[in-house]
Amino acid sequence: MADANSRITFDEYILEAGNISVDCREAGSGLPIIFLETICWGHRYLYEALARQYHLFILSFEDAKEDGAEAAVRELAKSLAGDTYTLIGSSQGANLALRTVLRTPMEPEPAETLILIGPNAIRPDPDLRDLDWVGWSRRLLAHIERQSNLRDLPGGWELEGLFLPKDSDAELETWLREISCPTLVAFGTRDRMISPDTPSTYRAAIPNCHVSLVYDAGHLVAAERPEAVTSAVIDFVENRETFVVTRHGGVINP
Amino acid sequence: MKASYLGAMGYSERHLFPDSWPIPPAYHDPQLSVQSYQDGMAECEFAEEMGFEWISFSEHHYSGRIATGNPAVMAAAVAERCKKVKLAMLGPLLPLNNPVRIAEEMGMLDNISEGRLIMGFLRGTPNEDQVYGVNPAEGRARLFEGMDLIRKALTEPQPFSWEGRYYQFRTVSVWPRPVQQPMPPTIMATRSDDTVKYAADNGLGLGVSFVPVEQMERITDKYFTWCREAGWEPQPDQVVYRGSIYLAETDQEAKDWLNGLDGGEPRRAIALDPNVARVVQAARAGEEFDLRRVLAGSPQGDVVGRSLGINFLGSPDTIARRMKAFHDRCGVGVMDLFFQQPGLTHAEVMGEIELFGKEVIPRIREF
Repeated sequence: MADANSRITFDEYILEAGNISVDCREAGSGLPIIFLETICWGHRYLYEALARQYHLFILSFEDAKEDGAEAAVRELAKSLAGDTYTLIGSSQGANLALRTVLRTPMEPEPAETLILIGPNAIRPDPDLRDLDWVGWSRRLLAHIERQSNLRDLPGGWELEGLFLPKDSDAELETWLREISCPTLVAFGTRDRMISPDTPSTYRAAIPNCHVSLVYDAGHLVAAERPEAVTSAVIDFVENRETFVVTRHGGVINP
Repeated sequence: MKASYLGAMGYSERHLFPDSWPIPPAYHDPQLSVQSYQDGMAECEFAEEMGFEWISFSEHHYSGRIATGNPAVMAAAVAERCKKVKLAMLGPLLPLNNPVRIAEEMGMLDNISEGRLIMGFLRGTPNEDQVYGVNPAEGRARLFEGMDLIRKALTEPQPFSWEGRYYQFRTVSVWPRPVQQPMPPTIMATRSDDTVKYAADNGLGLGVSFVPVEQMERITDKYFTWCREAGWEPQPDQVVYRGSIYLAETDQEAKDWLNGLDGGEPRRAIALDPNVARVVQAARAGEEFDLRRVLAGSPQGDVVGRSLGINFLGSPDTIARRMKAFHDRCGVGVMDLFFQQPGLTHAEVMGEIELFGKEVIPRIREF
């Protein structure tokens, strides 16, 4: 395991699957994790924490909504990680992770564990179009005043492309009960990209699902509460559904 | 305007307590204590009979002046005696408590009272931070996070986990849910700008304690402005003022009572060790305090949380007129009243409740 304070160096390369080319970053060793991202912005803390403990592959699609993207994920994940891996997606990447699990041949289910961070595939906020850059920033973040690198966010039109769900994603809701692997779905308590009943919809529909509410975070949960998200994600990767059991000690003085 | 009776359940011999805090348990006599709770609950029953529409409960620790360390226990007992009044929890000291536990208590109280619960939350006076070992510098942030967690815990239809700054719970699934849906009426008890703003932004009521009407007006002016900016208008029941009262047949009688007290005011100060008080105040203000730089403290102790004497003193006419000022100038719709002044007997308090019910409630109901 890498030192907790050292910066992680990621190997970067391009992969091809079908007609789709995908940017891939890789670091670490151990259990394989396939991470599907929308944008890299704000995820450094989570990525480095995962790479210190696991073999992390970050797949970045130019257009995560492109037809065939889910088949590409499955093909690339199998070649990179083998038959079993943890599949994590953030925002639009989480939507793609859902499509990968639900809309590709089901035997065997590709992911051993599924973690969705801020998916907006189902029940997105209906009022997301025609926002300018400031509007998008306020939709994505609960506290724009706390972000020192806010200007590095892509432009408004690009954000719309990155964060608006695919039209056909809505039908995924009817498929959620098909997911058999342990699933964690994390949302910020101030996520303005989804309707308020979205978290409970996942919890009610997916048989082995845990919903994690991350206090005082907007849609880009990993950017606003990186330590909290990382704690929940790593606990779930390590312990799956038993992450509900407290393991840290309570002794103050022996 | 509605009247609310603060169910303080004060220990009958509270006038013998020292001015310091905490009150040593050595002052406690079990027989007197049992009788004091019985007297307190009888006062609540009588207040309901005399037309008070709310009975309120307040969390205070390590003292018999307001002997409700767990207000939910007290509210549950009174709920079985009083079948009409609203039960106003004004309220749990949120930074001190497990918010999930508080949510469970609120759910239970709303069920056993058949939907008569009013929830109120606050940070608490500086001395209370020491009770459960909470860092005074974290109180406000714990209050805000606790509020968000309680609201989720009472409204989410499915189990969830909570990744907070101060609280982490991997399974939250509160049972029973409140009878009043989606949530019982909720009040933030505060005079701090950021908490008043939180109440306005989240559609919550406001409760303020013991301040003069001029200060109350400044606070409610901000509250109403921020509510308008948030797109809603508070109802009368959402603006609550808590004050202490001594009611007599005449103004002269009331003044004579006050003048007869040692020092001309009720002894209700909460005096901490001077250095402890300075550290607490500094931490709450986000400042550093280095004890090694202090040469000596006041031998009497620094007073924190001193109440402003009696807010309402006098005859029914005088008191009704002063309450109208709170209504007209501040929009107060509920007057929550602390009758159990130190040195008053149970019989005297019952007499005041009767006089208030007969002579004051009919007048304040008109505005």
